Parts: sequence; C-alpha cells; structure tokens
Amino acid sequence: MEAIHIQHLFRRAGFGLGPQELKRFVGKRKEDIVDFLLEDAMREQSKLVILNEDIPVPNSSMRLPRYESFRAEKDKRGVLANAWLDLMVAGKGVLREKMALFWHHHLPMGGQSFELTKCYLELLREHALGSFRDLIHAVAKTPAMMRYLDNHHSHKDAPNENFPRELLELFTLGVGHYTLQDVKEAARAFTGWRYNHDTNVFYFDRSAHDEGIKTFLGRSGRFTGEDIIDIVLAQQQCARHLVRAIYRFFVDQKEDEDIIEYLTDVYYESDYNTAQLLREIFLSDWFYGNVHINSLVKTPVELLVGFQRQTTVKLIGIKTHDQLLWKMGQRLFAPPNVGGWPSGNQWINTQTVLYRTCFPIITFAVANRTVPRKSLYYKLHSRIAHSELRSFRYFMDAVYDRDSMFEQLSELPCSWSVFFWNMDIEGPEEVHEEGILYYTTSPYYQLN
Amino acid sequence: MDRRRFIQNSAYLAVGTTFVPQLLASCGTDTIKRFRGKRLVLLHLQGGNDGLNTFVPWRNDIYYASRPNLAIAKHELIELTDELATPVWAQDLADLYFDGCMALYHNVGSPQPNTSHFKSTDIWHAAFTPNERANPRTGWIGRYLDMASRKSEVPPSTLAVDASETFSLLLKGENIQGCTIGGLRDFSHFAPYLEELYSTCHEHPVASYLQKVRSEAIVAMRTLHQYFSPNAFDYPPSVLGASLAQVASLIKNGAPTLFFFITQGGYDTHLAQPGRQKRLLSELGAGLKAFVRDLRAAGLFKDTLVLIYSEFGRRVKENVNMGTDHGVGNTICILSDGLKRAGSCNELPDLNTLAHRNDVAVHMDFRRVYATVLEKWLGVPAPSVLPGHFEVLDFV
Repeated sequence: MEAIHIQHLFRRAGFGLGPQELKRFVGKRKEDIVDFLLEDAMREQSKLVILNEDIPVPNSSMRLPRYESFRAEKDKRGVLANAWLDLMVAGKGVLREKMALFWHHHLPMGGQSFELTKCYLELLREHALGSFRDLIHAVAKTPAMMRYLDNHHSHKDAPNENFPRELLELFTLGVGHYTLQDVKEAARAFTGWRYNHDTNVFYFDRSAHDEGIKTFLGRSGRFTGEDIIDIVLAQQQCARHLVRAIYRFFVDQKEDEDIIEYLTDVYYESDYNTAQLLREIFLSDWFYGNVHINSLVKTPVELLVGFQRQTTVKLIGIKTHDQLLWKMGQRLFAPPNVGGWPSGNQWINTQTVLYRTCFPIITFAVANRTVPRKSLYYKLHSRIAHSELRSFRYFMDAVYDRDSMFEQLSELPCSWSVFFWNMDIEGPEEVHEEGILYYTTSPYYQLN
Repeated sequence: MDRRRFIQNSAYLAVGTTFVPQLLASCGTDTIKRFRGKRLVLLHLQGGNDGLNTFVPWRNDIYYASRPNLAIAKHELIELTDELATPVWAQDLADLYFDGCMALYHNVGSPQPNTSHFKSTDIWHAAFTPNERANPRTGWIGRYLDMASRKSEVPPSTLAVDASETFSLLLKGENIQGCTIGGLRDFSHFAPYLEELYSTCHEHPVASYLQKVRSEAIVAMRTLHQYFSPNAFDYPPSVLGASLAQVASLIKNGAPTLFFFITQGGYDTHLAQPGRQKRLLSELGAGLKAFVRDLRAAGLFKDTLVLIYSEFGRRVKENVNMGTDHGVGNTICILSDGLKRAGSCNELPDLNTLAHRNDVAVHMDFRRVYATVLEKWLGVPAPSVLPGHFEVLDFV
C-alpha cells in the first residue's frame, strides 16, 4: 500500500499514525494492514485506567500527576473522558476506540453520574466491533440511557414515548419509516423497565408493564421492549440507517447510493456484524478514492487525539482536554442533545474555529515554557509533558506524505512554501517545531 | 512570513501580556466609530425558569392548592399589582418593576411546544416550530445578520456577540455568524500570530470555508478588542455578573454590536426548587440591577432592550421532590428605559383552564415579541427574518 493510502486508512480507522509508524506498513498488502487493524482491536479490550498515577516526563526524572486530585473528586465525568482519551492516544486496538466513539455519536447519552456513564462507555467499547443487535439491547437497558431518555419510570398508566421515539427516529430506522402510532405502541411495550438504584442493574417490573396487545410496524402481539427491538432489527431499513451513519462518519458526508445499498446487504446478511462491515469498507477500492481523501472535517476528539499521537506531545490534566473539547464543541458524555454532535462544516463556527486551529500554538508555547501567565494555559492549570518527537520528517510521515503536502502548500502564501522548501530537515529541533506549528495551524490539518 | 518574522512572533508568546495588548490597541484607535443606536440583549434562563414562583399570582387559590409545599407564603411576597407579586429574594427585580423599566407578558410560548430542553431552546432561537422546520440551521438573529451584512460598514460578525460559554444557534446565519468573546479572552495574547494566518485562500472547499470563518472570528476579535475597558461599576461576582459587565463595557465604549446573548444556567428545578431558585433569582436581580445602573449612568439604557426568557415554563402542580417538571407557557420579562408600556401587560395565567398536562396554556406566540423588537425597536420588516407575519405588541 502507498503511504498516502495508509495514512488515510489510519486517520479514518484510528486517530492517525504516530511518528515512525508509517515505515512499519509501507509496501505491505492492504489485506494484511486491515487485518492487523481488526485483529489488534479484537484481540483484547484495553482496560480504562482510572487511577491517579503519575506520568513520567521524558528525558527527566520528573513525574507529573495525571490529574489534579481536587478536580478528580469534583469532575468524575472529566476523569472518565480523560481515561478514554488516554486509550485513544496510546493507539492500541485503536479501531475499537474509534468505533466506540462512533457509537457515542450515534447512541448519545449525557449528564449522568460517573458510575452510570462508565457502564455505558464499557458497553460501547465491549460491543464496538461485535453485533449491533447485542449493542442496542444492552444500551437500551443500561441505566445511563434509561435515565437520559426517561425510560426508567415508564408505567402502563403513563407510557413514556421519549426512548421509543429516539430509538426509531435516531438509533435504528430514521424519520419516515415508522408512524406516530408505532411510537405510542412501542412505548407501551417498554413500560415496566426499571433498574436497581443500589446495584445499577436492570430489572423488569411486571406490575408496571402493559400486558395488552400492541400493533407495531404491522405486527401484533403482547410485545415486550425486547420484542420491539427485535422487530426493528428485522427491518432492512435498520441496517440501511446504520450503514448511512457509518458511511458518513468513516467515508464521506456525501453518500453513494449504490455503495450504501451494497453495504446494507452486507450488514443485514451478517446480522449486524460491525467488524465485517468495516472490513468490507476498508478493503474496498472506493474507500481510497481521491475524492474521499481529506473530505471530512476532523471531530474535536480526532483533532486533539491525532495531534498528540503525531507530535507525541501529551496533554495532561482533566481540565486541559475538557476545556479544549468543550470550546471546540465536543464535551464527551455531554452531547448537545439526543441528536448527537454535528458533522462536517457544522463543527466550524467563530468560537470553535479559534480553538481548533490555534490550540497547537498554546500547546507548543507551554511545552517551551514561553507561555504568558494568565493565558489560556495558565487558566487551565494544565501541564504538558515535553515532546519526544524531534524531527519534522517523522511528523510529516505521520500526517501526510510529503509530496502531497507540498502540493497543498502551493496554495499557501508564497512565504510559507518558501519556508518549507528551505527548511533544514536535519536542522536543529526548534526549526522542526516551527514546521509542525505551521502545519497544525493550517486549515488542512482540520481535514480528515 | 519568513522564518525570522515567525521567530519574532514566537517571541511575543514569551513577552506576553505587557506587549501584546499595545499591539492590538495600535490597530486603528483613531478609526474607531462609536455606535449610538438601539441594542438588544437576550438573556436566556436555561433549564426552564418557574415563572409562577417568580411572578406570583398571589390572589389565586388554585396556585396555592396546586403547590402545597412550593407556593410562596404571602409574608414572603412583594406586591407588584393587586394580583401579581415577586418573592422577597427577587427584591431587585421588584425595584426594576417599580422603576417603570420592566414589561411583563404572561402565557408566552410556542404554538407547538416541546418539553425537551434542547428542542425547545432550538424552537426559541430558530423562531421556527418543528412543523415549520424540523431541523433549523439558522437562528433569527443569524438571519438578521445575513440580511444586514449586505450594507454593513463594520465586520458583520461583530454585530452579534455571544457572551455565553458556547456558541448558540441563535447567532448562526446562512452566511454570517455572530462572534464569541470567550475567544477574545483566550486568544488576544496570540493575536499577532493569528493575523498572519488569515489572509490566504484555498481551493479545497472545506479548507476555504474554515479559512473564511477563521478570518471572520479574528477580525471580529480584533475589532471588539478596542471596545473593552475595565469596569468601574461593581457587578456581583457571579458568572452572569461578569458577562453583564463585559456587555456593558462594549455598549458604553460604542462597539458596533447590536445583539448580545447571555445565559444563566441552573433553572431545571425538578428537585429541591426553593433553595435553588432563590439563589438564582437573587443572582439574576443583582446582576441586572448593576447593569441597569451602569448603563443609566452613561445615558444608554433608553437605547438598550433586555429580553429575558426561558425555553419553557414549569408545570403548575408541584412534584413529589419539592420541585416542578417541564411545562409550557411562561412569563417573559423586558427591561429598558425606552419602553412605551411598562408593568404587567396582559392577563395572568388562567389556572382554571390548563393545557393538556396541567400546564399554563400558550396564548401568545413568542414570535410576536421578536416581531415587535424587529419592527418597532430595530426598524426592520419582521417577515424578512421570521417565518410569516406576527402581530406586534405595544411595549416599544
């Protein structure tokens, strides 16, 4: 495989390559690389580490605390988000984390306690590459989602339509493939779902359940919530709706109807085997078409994680990630609403664009200790472990192949291209940092 | 920019605070135009404020019967009229009412209400009901910006400022969007570097869009930076107080901004409402009182209109957790020295005939307020921004 295609694959299937990773894959067959990605992700699930352990600073005997302990107590959601981001940056089994991030986009939930949020995240990660059937059954019963969509006190005398509506509209079928009456009938079937507030375990309260006959999507019976989910999964439209979302996240915002139909068959026939669907996408020729390369806008998580992987600069501190992601519009476990986060150009507004394109300046200023007091960094109480990356060449290998980069740079103002052409690749490290700064603050770095 | 210039710019980072503001300030102090026109401040009480416990129908028996635990006792009320009162912890609001700079409209809401915070906030900010447009992409102020940008002498983004922490749909237009002042705080140190970035053009459609928005953001930041000054007035030390102080500073120094958006969060009082609402309302009253005093001293409150609203009201009947659940109709509050009509302007909620789930019914489409502001305050035809024609009110 060519460098440009390997980089494309790793940006989409993961969070970009780390320095010197490219040479491990150049020249290998596509099948081998895709299998590596899948096997690496499926071998075993990395554990979320939520310990307050220290992080060693490279080339120094110093250690920095992972989190400010006072803040860890106050902001446990932030701790959880950081633990997950750490896994993404570490880059082991990266496709699992990327797919779990997709599921967090697609089955969004927010505003719940640390314990409930952790259960929810572990479900997304566990079933990320498995069967969507298992995932949606599990997510429907996880207390975080039940609470988020008010399904934990739905009673036969007052069925709650919130969860069934979003299940049909957003999670599985899409608008136009069910009626308002279907929502009402489904709501009756979900009555009696409860969870134990001490153990956070789901249970079924028969006395609150509507035992009557429901008519849902043309079928009638004494359906339970599980039956409703199975009936939905039996619709090919469910596979189509999911394939569309996955295509928009991994391939392109503009859908190709022929490919969507083909992938829908693959997903439906495999009974929603997500790993198989992704394999089909990553092994295809069209996935590597020029039209798709750099056609997406990085999500804020992809941007921050990718930056850390490529530069090996490490952002530390709960508030560092949290504030930056918040200002960029993607606080984890706090989506704006059940519709999830925006996509494409919608990520870009006059607030987010400043943080998205300028955070590298702050980061490097901090790493070089040239940052003014009272700056963003100072307010964030963050620390950044110094970068191990000392070569612009390695960085460029991680983001893009150099020829394409220079092509892009020809669109930059003349002085910039001159800067890059004249840059001494073997020169002193400060020069390399400048180069990385130039590139990471350019609009192209926002693309995925 | 060559490498030497770049390194010089990096040096700014090291020199920091003392140097950079001067550089920013030097970009055209003599060209500053001081705007002296009508302005609108939108203050969103996030979470759904309980209007019935803010502006209390103190003669209504149904109010007391529906809220055995939450109704505010008569000895804790300040009478505004012979049927309306505010709790004593909203003394500052009562003072503004007696000043004659407050207009209240009751039973206001969307003709097609929604009890989700997010969806309902979108309805209020887009000014579209879900039937009219299911997934609105623009806010009503954003659409105003689109229209006004054609003849604007200042960077159009500076016409609307979001002083909340995130960027609201309210200020998003199809082509133009308002700007935030959060970025101004965080990035003014880096402005010299940013300015090097924004003059290029790109062929890639997404990259060029990004570049366009970034240019707008940086230009807006540069422009507005000139209008900030330390505030001499005492504002309460809350987040709301800080936002109001910033807005007042921009207004007093003649910033070109017409619209300001501010939020105060925490009104979603399903649980333990009395203590929480008490704290929020006293914070709100203190902030507004300082703001009014500040602008009045500068003679500018007659040209400033503050519109205070929530995404929905709360249920009439209290719940079992000493709180109230999401409702529908609510009271909105308008503040200005330029009001033609002040006081309580229409009928109080009719608690005898409630909407479907024990909710205050909507008798006034919230967009009538927007239409009034557009037509009679800002002097632009409302249908150019709002979906259709809405009967105007007489508060201005």
